This record gives sequence, C-alpha cells and structure tokens, in this order.
Amino acid sequence: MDIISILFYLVTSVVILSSIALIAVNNTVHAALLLVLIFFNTAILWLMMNAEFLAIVLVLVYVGAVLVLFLFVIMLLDIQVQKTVSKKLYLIFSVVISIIMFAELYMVIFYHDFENTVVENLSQDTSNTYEIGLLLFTEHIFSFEVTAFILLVAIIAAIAINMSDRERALRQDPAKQILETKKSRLKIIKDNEI
Amino acid sequence: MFDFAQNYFNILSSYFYELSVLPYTLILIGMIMVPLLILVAYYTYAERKIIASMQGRLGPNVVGPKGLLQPFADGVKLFFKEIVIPTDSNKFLFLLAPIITFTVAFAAWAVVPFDSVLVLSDINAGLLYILAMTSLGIYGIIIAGWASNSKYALLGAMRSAALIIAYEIAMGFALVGVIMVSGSLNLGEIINIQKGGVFNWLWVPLFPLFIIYFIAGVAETNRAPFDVAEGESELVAGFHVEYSGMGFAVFFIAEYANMILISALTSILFFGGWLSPFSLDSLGVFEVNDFFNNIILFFINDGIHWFILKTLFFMFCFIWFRATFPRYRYDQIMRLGWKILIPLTLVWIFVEMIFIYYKIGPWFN
Repeated sequence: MDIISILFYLVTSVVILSSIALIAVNNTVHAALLLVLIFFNTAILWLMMNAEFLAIVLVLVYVGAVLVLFLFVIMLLDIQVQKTVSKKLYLIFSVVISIIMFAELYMVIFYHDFENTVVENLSQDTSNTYEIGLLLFTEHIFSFEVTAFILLVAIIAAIAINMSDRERALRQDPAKQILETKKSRLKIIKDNEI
Repeated sequence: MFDFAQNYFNILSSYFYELSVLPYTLILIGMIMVPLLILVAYYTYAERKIIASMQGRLGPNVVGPKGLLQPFADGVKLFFKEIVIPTDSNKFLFLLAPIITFTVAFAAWAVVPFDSVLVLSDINAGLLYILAMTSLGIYGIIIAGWASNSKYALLGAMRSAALIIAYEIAMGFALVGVIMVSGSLNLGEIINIQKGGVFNWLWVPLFPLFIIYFIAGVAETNRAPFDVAEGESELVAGFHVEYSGMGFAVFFIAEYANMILISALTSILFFGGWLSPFSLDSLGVFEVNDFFNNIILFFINDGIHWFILKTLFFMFCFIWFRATFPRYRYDQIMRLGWKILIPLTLVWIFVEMIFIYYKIGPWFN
C-alpha cells in the first residue's frame, strides 16, 4: 500500500461515514455542513485522479454556491431537535424506495461489465480544462446546448414565480429616488413666517 | 524472514521518499505566510495612519517610533483577552468558523505567482482554484453568524452571504473576459501574454471588466463602501459581534489577507503582475555596462518588485475607498450587483468577442 492508496481509503471512509452521519443527525445545519465535507472529499478523490478541473468546479459550484444557498435557507428556520414520529405510511414508502434503489445498484454493479471501462488516470501534462472544453464543444455539443437551454428555462421559470407576487412586494423605485430633490424632501420654515 | 524485512524496509523507504516533499512544501508555505502576516499587521497600521491623515488626525503615534509597534501591541492585547463563548451557542461551530475563514484566506495564495519562477503550485486551473477558495470564505462568515446565537450576528451573516453570492457572479464574468484573452486558466500564462509594456496589459482592452472586478473584490471582502455585513451603526459589528480576543483577531487577519489577495489578483490579471511597465527594446539607453546602469536596469526590468508595487497600490485603494465613500444601502448594493455590474460584464464579453474576431491591437493577436 503506497501513500496514495492510504489517502484514498482515508478519504473514502470520510465520505461514507459523513454520508451516514448526514442522514442520522438531527440538526439540519450540521447535516448541510456534513454535505460540504462530503463534496470536499469527493473533490479530493477526483484530484487524486488528476481531474483537477472537475474537482475544483465541484468545490466552486456545489460548495461555493449551491450549499451556501441551502445553508442560507436552513439557518433562517427554527431548528428544534425533535424525536422522529414513526408513521406506518412513511415506513412503507421508505422500504419500497430502498428496495428499488438496492435493486438498481445491484444491477449496475453485477450486470455491468466493468472490465472494459477501466478508469484511467488523466495524464498530468495535458490541461484537462482544455480537453473537457474540446469534448464539450465538438462531440457532445448537442447535449451541452440542450442542458444550457434547460437551465435557461429553469432560470426564467424561477424569475416568473418570483414575479407573480409583484403587487404585494415591498420594493424601492430607484427612478423616484434619483429624481428626489432637496426641495421635495426638505422644507425650511423661518421663525418670522410662523 | 530476511526477505520480509527487506520488503518492509523498501515500503518504508518509499513512504519516507514521498513524505520528504512535505517538510519542503511546509517551508515554502511558511515563506509565503510569514511575510503575508507581517504585511497584514502593517496594513492595519497603514490603514489607521492613512485614514487619519486624510481626516486631519495623527493616528497611532505612541507605541514605538511613529507608532510603528502599534500592530504588535494590538496583537498582544487580543492574544491575552478572554475568549467568551455566548450561552446557547453551538460551541464547536463557533470555534470552527474563524479557523475556516483564516484557512481559506491563506489557501488561495498557493497559486499566486510572485515572479516568473516564484510560485508554490503552478497548476493549470489556477484561476478556478482561486475562485473556488474565495467563494469558500463565506462559510466562515455564515457559520460564525449562525453559531453565535445572536440576531445581529445572524443578520450580518445573511447580508454578507447575499452580497457575496451577488458579486461573485460579476467577478466570475470579469474573469471570463480575462480567460478569453489568455486562453488559459494558469496565472503565469495570463501574465505572460501581457508582455511588452504598460499598454499591452489587459486593463486597456478590458477596462470595464477591471473596474467591475475590483468593485466585486471590494464587495467580497466586505469592505467599505459595501460593508453592510458589519455596518456598525445598524448591526454593532455584524457576523463577528460575539467574538472576542483571538477569535476576533483571526477574522480580522483573514479580512485583511483577503484584501491583499484581491489587490494581488487585480495586479496579476489586469496589470501584468511581475511585468515591468517599460518595454526594454524601446528604451535602448542603458548600453554602457557599468554598476549604476545595471542597478537601474534591474529595477526597470521585470521582477517581484513590480508585483509588490502594483499590489500595494491596490491595497492603498481599499483604504482610500474607506475614507472617501459613505456606506451603500443594502438595496442599492443589490441593484448595483445584479442590475448594473452583471449586464455590463456580459456586454463587454460580447465586445471582446468582436475584438478577438478582428484581432485588434497587441492583445488579441
């Protein structure tokens, strides 16, 4: 076992343990922070395969932006540690879902021919940002554009949902603020005029 | 039995070989960290002195000659102060927050090139790495705000989070402009394409992006005029209101380190980093090979002193802004970020496309 494999087992065990802790902890803020830990360690795993672009983008997008928004919302909630109420309906659903997921994973792991899909470490010399860019804009241009379009639609939908409540929303009108003059805001009354 | 020992020895020696990189790297990290911490200490002194002189005061002048030992006096004071942990706060996260902020503020320096050879880690995706690290700084702030169990701290953290998310997009787009010229995410290469004098630097073709980048940088470091996160008239001190002693000091150091980082990055991305503003070919005066000419030549030539000079200028700008501008209101900041800066960057990226298509100037050849 060389240092790289020791590091690998260390990082993967952190990922697995914090994934278990993620669903086990009661405090939602702790759960979100554990998710940060998981993403970070996944980034380390990618970095060990010399996939520096993917690793850094994972940290940048998921840790730096998405989870910040998660935390943003969670922290404004009133966190109360409460005992989980066991309901039969939930139990049935969770059993069904876990059976389905287990079956899927089983199929992926045991029927998939992993012999032919050896994950090769990328060479350290080529810039894999460049390589990924090249692939995205040539071979996978269609799926890339479709993804971009779907994201655009999602953005517009998010804005539209936000806009629908415009009437009641409290907001500043910058044009009015700029057009305010000293005269319209301030009235000087002299003593002798009273 | 002997074979086994031999084998064991081989494995051990390979470990030691791989681990021998560690102390060497640690020494290099120390060579960056120690000057940086000293710079942070004197940055606080410079800030107090400069703002004092701008406002017609004296500033610190008691400790040491001209008050030069003031930062150390402050440091010692903060170090010996009691660390108070608020009731009902989350103790672990409360103590973790300053550590995160500090680590992230200094981790970004790993890829900053100080000179053509002086760089700790010359990775290909350097610019992305810096973006990722600076975007992590927000965790320290958010966690500090939440774990303090104080409404002022929480409000400050929320403001700060919204601010950083808004300005990070503008910052990212400004960097896209730089990447379009350089065709590389490596900071060394970004500097290399700016060779050839002051007008070959990227601030000329990318002037709006440079301004936007610097504004976003000021906003990301929570500095005046965007310091709503700590706005003392509304929130006492914002996210670090409950921190005392070393906890506060660590936040303080991280903030100043971030300011220095933004200054250094502005000088690297738009002002040619360690490149000299003069191009030596056009000068042609220093042909005599005597001692003084060589000294002058050394200072005119590319080198770390130009990088430091440029960085110091932008560091001065941070202080200058603080002494000059009144604080923005929260909704004004949001409007500036989302409705002015982001559209402007997008427009300039399209303008830059035209520049690139027609191969304009010395920048897009």
